[in-house]
Amino acid sequence: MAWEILLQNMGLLLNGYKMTVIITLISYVIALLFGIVLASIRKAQIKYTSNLVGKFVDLMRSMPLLMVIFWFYFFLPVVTGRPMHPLVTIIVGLSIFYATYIAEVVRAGIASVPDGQMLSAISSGLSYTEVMRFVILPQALRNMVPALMTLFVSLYLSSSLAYIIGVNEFFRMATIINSRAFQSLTIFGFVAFVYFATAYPLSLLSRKLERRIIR
Amino acid sequence: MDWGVLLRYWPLIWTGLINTIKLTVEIMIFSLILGLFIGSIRALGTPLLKKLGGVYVEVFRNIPSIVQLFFWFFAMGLGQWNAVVIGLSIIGSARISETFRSGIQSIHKAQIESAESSGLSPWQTAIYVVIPQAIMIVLPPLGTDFLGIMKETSIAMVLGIRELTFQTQEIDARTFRGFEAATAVTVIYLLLSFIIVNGGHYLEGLLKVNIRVLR
Repeated sequence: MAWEILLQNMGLLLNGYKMTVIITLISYVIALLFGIVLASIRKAQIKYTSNLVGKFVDLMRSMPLLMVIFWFYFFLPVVTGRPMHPLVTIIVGLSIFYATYIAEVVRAGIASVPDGQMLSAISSGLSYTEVMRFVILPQALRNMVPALMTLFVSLYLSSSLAYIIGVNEFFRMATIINSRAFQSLTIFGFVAFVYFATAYPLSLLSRKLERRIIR
Repeated sequence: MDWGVLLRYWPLIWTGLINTIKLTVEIMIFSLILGLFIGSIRALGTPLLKKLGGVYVEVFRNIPSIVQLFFWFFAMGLGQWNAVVIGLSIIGSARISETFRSGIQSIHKAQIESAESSGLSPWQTAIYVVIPQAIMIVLPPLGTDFLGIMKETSIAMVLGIRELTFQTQEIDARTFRGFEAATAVTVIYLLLSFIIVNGGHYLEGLLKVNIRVLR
């Protein structure tokens, strides 16, 4: 039976999937924090700095993710002077790449909060950071949730690129099993199914939330 | 650092550029045709066809591109180039179909009804009323979709296609100058993005003179 190959290697696949989940969660949390920082700097209109952040975001968004990952793959050793663990490389690459996308979502979210809120909060004596943290971001977050979920799904799917630099995540485990067993249809069909069965409900939920917010 | 390596290995980068452009153009054409077809079905088709179109979009958008390429190559036994072009065209068409669907749906029903009641055939309604308006609405997001297609071609390297990202790795394998190669290739990707984005703006300007958008 074709399914036996999957059962025999369930341990490997499960370990791989754990790695995928770890990469996804860590990268997403870092990307979210970094993205909020980027958006806040941009919004603050600090001389030169805000402009520079804008340029950085545009730069990242016109590059292929794979190229960004390679860039850190080659760049981190130049900085640190020793080879970098591929797991660190993929997390740095994914989180910085997705931070720029999240920054754009956050920027749109902040723009959706009426200007009066910012002005009245500042005139009531809060500092800029306090205004952002207690007044603007909580309101903006509600509008941002669907887009942030879409990006989460996108990051989850992209984490399979870790295969290329040699991280033993779900997809790479599947290719290893495939190179031993040559049952490509079963193995890659299964991998595709697992990704779809986990990503689709999230995509669906994000669209439902979006519709609710528009209404 | 040794930037001279770029001069010595320029032919490799040049081949990479040509292959990236070839892939991008082929995938753009196929996904545009397929995307227009599926988008129209999703906007105007019978309930059953709409549902089928929805399944197509969801399935191909919620599975990592790299898994899909491996599926076409290993499981379906296509050649490398064909697996990449077919795989990425299907993913591109799923995204582009969403652009067309929302573009067509954003045209007010009253426009179609009044065109039909003034004696135009469905074909004439499509050619003279719906499409000219839809093009202007669809053009900006279509530019983003095309940019996405160009960036996604970098994944072709996993099947051994010698495009820009593959050549970065190739130069690194031959000279250990991955950092320099990655930087050069990044600049090329930025130029390609710049051309696509500005080409889109130029086309918009050109069409705006001839078509007046009515909402």
